[in-house]
Parts: sequence; structure tokens; C-alpha cells
Amino acid sequence: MKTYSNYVATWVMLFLACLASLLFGAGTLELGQAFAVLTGQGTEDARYVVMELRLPRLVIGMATGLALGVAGALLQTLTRNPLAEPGLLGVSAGSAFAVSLAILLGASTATLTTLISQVGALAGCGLVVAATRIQGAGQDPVRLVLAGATLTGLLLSLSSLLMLIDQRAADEIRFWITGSLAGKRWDQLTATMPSLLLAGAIVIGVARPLASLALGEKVAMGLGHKPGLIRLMVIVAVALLVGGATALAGPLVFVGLVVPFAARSLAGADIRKTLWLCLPIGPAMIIAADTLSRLLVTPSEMPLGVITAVIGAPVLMVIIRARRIPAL
Amino acid sequence: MNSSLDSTDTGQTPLHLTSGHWLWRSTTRPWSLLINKRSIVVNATLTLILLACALSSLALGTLSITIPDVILALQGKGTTMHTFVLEELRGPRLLAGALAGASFALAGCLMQTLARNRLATPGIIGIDNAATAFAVASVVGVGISAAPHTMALVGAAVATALAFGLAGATGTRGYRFIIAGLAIGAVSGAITQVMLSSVALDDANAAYPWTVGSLNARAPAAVNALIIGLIVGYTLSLFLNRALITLQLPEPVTASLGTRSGRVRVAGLILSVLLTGLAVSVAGPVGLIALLGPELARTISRPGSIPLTASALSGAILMVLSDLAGRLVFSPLEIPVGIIAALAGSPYLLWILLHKSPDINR
Amino acid sequence: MNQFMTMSKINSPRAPLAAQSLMMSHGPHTIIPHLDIELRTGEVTAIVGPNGCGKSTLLNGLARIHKPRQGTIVLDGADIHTLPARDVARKLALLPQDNSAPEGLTVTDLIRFGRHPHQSWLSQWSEDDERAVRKALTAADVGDLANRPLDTLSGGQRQRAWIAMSIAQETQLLLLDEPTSALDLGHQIEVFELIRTLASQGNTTKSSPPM
Repeated sequence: MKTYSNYVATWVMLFLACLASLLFGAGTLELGQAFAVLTGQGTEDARYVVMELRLPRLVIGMATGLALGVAGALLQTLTRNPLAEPGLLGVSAGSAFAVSLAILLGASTATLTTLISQVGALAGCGLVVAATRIQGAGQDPVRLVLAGATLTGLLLSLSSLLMLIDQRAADEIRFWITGSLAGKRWDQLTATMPSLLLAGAIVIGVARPLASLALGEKVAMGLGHKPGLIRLMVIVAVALLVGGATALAGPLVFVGLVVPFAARSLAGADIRKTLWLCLPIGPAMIIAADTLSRLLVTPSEMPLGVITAVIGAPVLMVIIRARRIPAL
Repeated sequence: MNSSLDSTDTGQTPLHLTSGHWLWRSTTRPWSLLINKRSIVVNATLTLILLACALSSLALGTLSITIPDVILALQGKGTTMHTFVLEELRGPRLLAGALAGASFALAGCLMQTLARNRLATPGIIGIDNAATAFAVASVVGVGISAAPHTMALVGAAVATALAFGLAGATGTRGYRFIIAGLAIGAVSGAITQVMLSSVALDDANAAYPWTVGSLNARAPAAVNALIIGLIVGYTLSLFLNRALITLQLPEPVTASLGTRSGRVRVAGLILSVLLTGLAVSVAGPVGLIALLGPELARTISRPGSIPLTASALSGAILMVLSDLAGRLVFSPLEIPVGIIAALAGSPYLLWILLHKSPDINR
Repeated sequence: MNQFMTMSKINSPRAPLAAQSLMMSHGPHTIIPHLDIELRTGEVTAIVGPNGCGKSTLLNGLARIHKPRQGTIVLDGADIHTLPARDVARKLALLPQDNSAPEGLTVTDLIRFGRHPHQSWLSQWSEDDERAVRKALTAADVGDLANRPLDTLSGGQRQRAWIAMSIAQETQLLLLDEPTSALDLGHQIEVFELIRTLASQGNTTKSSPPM
């Protein structure tokens, strides 16, 4: 019963966040006018703002939150590390660097950006999983996070180097690298959608074997699963999700930490239940954060990445304080 | 080892207890000095290398000056052009770089020692980022009028206090402190980004050196503050050295040898924060120097010693070299020193993280 | 046999260390509810008990590493927490279990750490330091290993080196926490004999604490 009410509560939260996202904004549009649009009335201007500016932004935010939340849950289960978050471990940085490189080289179409972003995420993800298999360091969540932070720093420096070379690219990269949903259009979503759907299919297929892999490699093999294959599929899914999300909204840190953490604390250890709960919680977090980002410093906008960092950092501390993590 | 000055060999036992040291004992008073030969050799070598790097840094650049010309100019006999380039451009820059590098590395060495963890450097635990955020706040003018270096110090102190508070534990040892710092660093970095993206582009460009670490942003006042801070910090850390050495042993042994480790930790931490804040206000967040300098110093120093001087010298060398590389590699385009240090240092840090024990004793 | 903690007192005119109504706790857990203990001179006192009964906690309390929740610890007639750390370190040495030292440190380097409370900026290596280290090398029978790095030694040799460090501290009291736990039977006996010798020497030889 408790689980059931949890599901309902999280979906209600998501609904409220969506409503707020459509109703509130940085523009001069009044609340009543926005609401009128939702009920099928409203002026032409109001209709434009809500349907053409806020709605795409809402849907893209949902896709981003969904992708990052699920990716975080997968990566944490695979590495058995509650701190394994794509942003912290450098997966997002990998895709961000790839995109920066692409922007510098003149790539502009959304499809290409998505693909490049996913290739970068795949490389980052491969590095993370390779690192977890190093004896000693791999079992140490904190060391892994520090390694991720180092990798992120390294890639950021490389991006800075790129920005020095080309001023035009620099402005574009600087805007994008903070993480934002501002000014996103439908075509960006259509470019990312196929790969996100593919990732979803993989996740559905891999959820059950992954749950048994969480019990140990030998148990999984005993149940007839192939650990190597599961691992590979999870890596591909995480890369597709994180790469897609990064292409949409820029590198967002901590989302993949906060969402699965909230889901786990509601659902318990079962990865499948956790994944189901990530579905409403991920989008809800991003949309709420995005709405906040529009309201806090009106008329300008606070980058989304800042809000997620400010929300995420305390959660990181809670996780650290609650668990006895092996000493460094 | 040869020890001709070693007077400790009493002839009763053929054992040299102080081999590798120079020993001096007063005949009238209970005074004695024991100086390690290896640390003398190490520090002398590092000083020579630093001098060589400094000369190269003065000589090389978009305008190359030969070493003899540099020396002539330093003696006041050079051409006007040379004198201008050396005295107005490269000299102050070299000084700022060397001082900031030395400060970073000394701060790193102190913090690593008192946390007994080679990962516990100011950069990793977010002090650099917080200092930067505060300094940027004063550069872009978010309603604060204090000088950047004052603000950087405040930021460093706030970050450290927060890291302690969030870690919820006394003592700097342990991963909680590091993760708390990581979180603070992430938030500070984000706040810096906000400030830069929310102001006009000119201001953002003015503050850009702060975000990556560069010697272009140095203000004379900040350099002066750093000079004083480094002299004071270095002297005080030498006084702490005797107690710091015992911190290498397990905590109960340290206490049993009469060291008040709590007080030593607090003193060391304050020094470390001070040095980092001042260095950030001159060079921005070049945090990896605080990791690489002591690491280099430790590998060439005698086991069981705290290489404070060697760390400072190594840090200065690394900083001067990074800056030189940044000026030369893509010349005439100049790569900020922070980027060079990150590119060179991150792979090494990754290697430490994944292959070595973070315990400072290993 | 392994669950031993040994205290030996060397060369003391009167009972130098006593705990009165001692209560020690670790966070919310009370480890030692109430204890009065007085340690007599020139003998070896062994404290025996199962794992987790508070032996190490007691030693840490006696050596002023942890503050007791209640009660006082008296060293030479004064409350130990009112004495300067350095004075305590000249009277009382503690050797905990499971010690680790910086890589590459030699046996002599380690033993020299024991002289720390007797040294200062102006007195970095006095003749007393020299004599104490030589004595410790001989007493713990590590003279042959003097220049070997600790990490090349066997467990028993390393433990003797650590004991030598505590001996070099030249204190009237030596608190050893399970000094033989890492050792095989032969080395255990060696260490116990060493401890007994130290206690008996304490009665006969007069060491001169440098002031």
C-alpha cells in the first residue's frame, strides 16, 4: 500500500511541477492569461508564449530529467556505489567536451550534436566502469568520485582551451556548458528522441538481469545471465541517456544523484522499483528547478545547472553522513 | 654514508645513529643542531632549478632575450626595450607566479600532513573554488566593494568552515571532509558561473582569468599581500614542523609523544587557508599545484620528513614552468597557467587516485 | 594469550599513575562504567579480557588521549589533564596496537621519534638523546636492524622496533596495548621477557631525565 501511495504522490508532484512550469515564467504574461491558454482560450500572444516557448521547454525538461534519473540509478546499481552519478563521475563532462569540440569544428545540426554527445558519454562511461574494476580503488566510492571530479576538471580545462582558440565558439560553449533549458525548440527534442527510446528499450530488457547482478556476479551467472553482456548494455544505455540529456540541456551535475536517492529511499533496494519511481521524480525535479531558475532572478534567468548543484550538494552530504562508506 | 663532521661515533658501538646528518653541539650550553644532508642537497638543487626556470621565463616569450642580455638588464645595463619587458612585464609576472606556486604547494603540504591524506589539498576540498567565487563577486561587483584578495581570503575561510560544519566531525581526517569540500567546490563553481553569465560580457572577460587560473589578473596589492603572507606562513610552518613530523605516526602515538594534535591541526589549517586564499587572489584557482608540488617534494626528500621548503620550491618551479609553457606553446595565443597545470596535473592525480593509496605514509 | 595488554612501570618512587572513579564512554556507549585503579612501581601489570571489554579505552584514558566522562587520572600527584602535554610525554609512554609509519623510515629514524618530548628547537640531538636511543636499540635487541627500513622487517622485528621507540622515550611508565598480538609464540615470549627485564631494570638503574 505504501508503495502505491508513493507512486501516486510522486506523479501528483510531477503534475504540479508541470502546471507551475506552464503558468510561471520570466515574461510579462499574467497568471490568468496563461491559465486561460490551458483551458483552450487566451489571446494569441499568450498562446504563443505558453505553447511555443514554455511547452517545448517543459517537454525537453521532462526528457532530460527522466534520462538523467534513470541513468544515475543504473550506474549506481552497476558500480554498487551510491555516489556514482554521471555528472560527478565525468560522464557528462565527456559528452560536454565532445560537444564543445563539435561546436568548435562547426557542427550545428541537433542530430549531429546528440550523436557526438552520446559518443563522448560512452567514452566517459567506459572509463568509469574500467576504473571500478581496478582493484582497491574501484570499491572505494569516494575515491571514484574524486577521480570523476578530476576527469571533469581535466575535460573542462580542455574545453577552456578550445574556447581560447575561437571566440565565437567560446560564447556558444560558455552559454551551453552551464546547463540550461532556455530557448530550446522542438527540433532538438526530435533529434534526441530516437536514442532515448532505444535506451528505454534497453533498460526494460536489462532491468531484471541487473537486479540479479546486484546480488553478485556469481549469483547472476547462476541465474543464467551473462554479467559481461549486462554490463555492456547498461553502459550503452547510460551513454545514450546521459549523452542525449547533455545534448538537450548541457551538463547537469547532481540530478543523477538526487533522483535515484529519493527513489531509493521510497522504494528500497530493488532496482526495478527504483527505476519506476525515477520516472516521475526525475522530470519533476528538473521542471521544478527550471521553473525556479526563471523566477529567482527575473527578468533574467539563473542557469539550471546552478540550481541542481545547489539542490544536489546537500543531498550528497546526506548520503555521505548516512552511510558508512569505506575510508579513503 | 660519509659523515666526516659526525662526532657521534663514540667508538663503543660502530653504529652511526646520525649518519646522513650534520651534527653540531655547543660545548657550553645544552644546544645542539641536527641538519639532514639530503634535505640540504634537495633544497639546493630545487633552488638552482627554480633559478634556471626563472631565467628562462625572463628570457623567453614573444620577444626573445638572450640570457646574457637578461643578466645585463638585471644589472641595469640593458637596452631600454629589454629593461621595460623585464621590469614591467616578465619580472612581476615571474614573481607573482613563483610566490603563488610556493604558497599553493606549501598550503597543500601542510594540509596533506595534518589530514594524513595526500588527497586533502585545498583545491580538492573546494577552498580554491570558494575563494574564486568570492573574488569574482568583488570583480563583477555584486554589491561588494572589498578588494579581490580580501574577498578570496574570506571565501577560503568560509569554505573551510563550511566543510568542517557539513562534515559534522572534529578533525580534518577522513573522506567526509573531502566530500563536503567537493560539494562546496561544486556549488562555488556554479555560483561563479552564474555571476559571470549574468553580467555584461566585458566584465565576464575581465573575470575569466579567475575561473581558470591565470597570472594576467594579478593586482599589485594582492601580490604584496601574498609576499607578506608567504613570509609569515612559511616561518610559522617551520615552527610547526617539529610537531607536524610526529603527526605522521598513528594518532595515539602522536599524543603520547606530547604533541597536541588538535591545536597543531587547527594552526596548520589556518596557515593553509591563509596561503591558499592569498595565492588564489594572485593566480586564481591553480589547485593542482598544491597536490603536485608536495608530491614531487616528497618523492625526492628523506622518508619521514615534512618537506615544507622543498614543497614550496617545487610549487614555484611548477608554476613558473606552467606559465612559461602557456606563453610559448600556442604563441602568440596565451594559455592561462591554470589550464596548463590542469592538463599536466590531472592525469597524475587520476593515477594517484586509482593506483596508489591516499594514505600519506604509503 | 593474545588478548593482553601490559603495563610496566619502571623506576618510580611511588605509585605514579592512578585513576579515581573513572568513567569512559565512546559516543553514547559507556565502555568503562566505574573503575579505580592504582599502578604500583617496578612491576608489570597485565590487564586481561575479551575483545571489546575496554582495554584499549582504558589505556587511551590513562594516557590522556581520550578525556574520561567522569573521574580523574592522577599522574605523579597531579590531574593529568592539567599537566602540559610535554611533561606527560616525559613520564608516560603509550604504544597502541597496529602502528604504521611513513614508508622508507628506518628503525633508527623511528626510535628517534621517541626522543621528541625531550628535544626542542635548540636541542635537536643531545648526548642524552644519543644514549637513550642506543640503550633502546640494545634493550629491544634491534641493534642489527638499526639501518633497515621498517617495511622490510618481519612483524615481530617491527613490533620490537616500535617498543624500542617507547623505551627511548625514557618514561617511568610504559603502557603497551597488546604488544604481542601480531607475533608468533616465540616472539611473544621474547617481548614478554623484554617487558619483564625493563621492569626489573627500572628498579635497579637510575635513569636521569634531562631537564
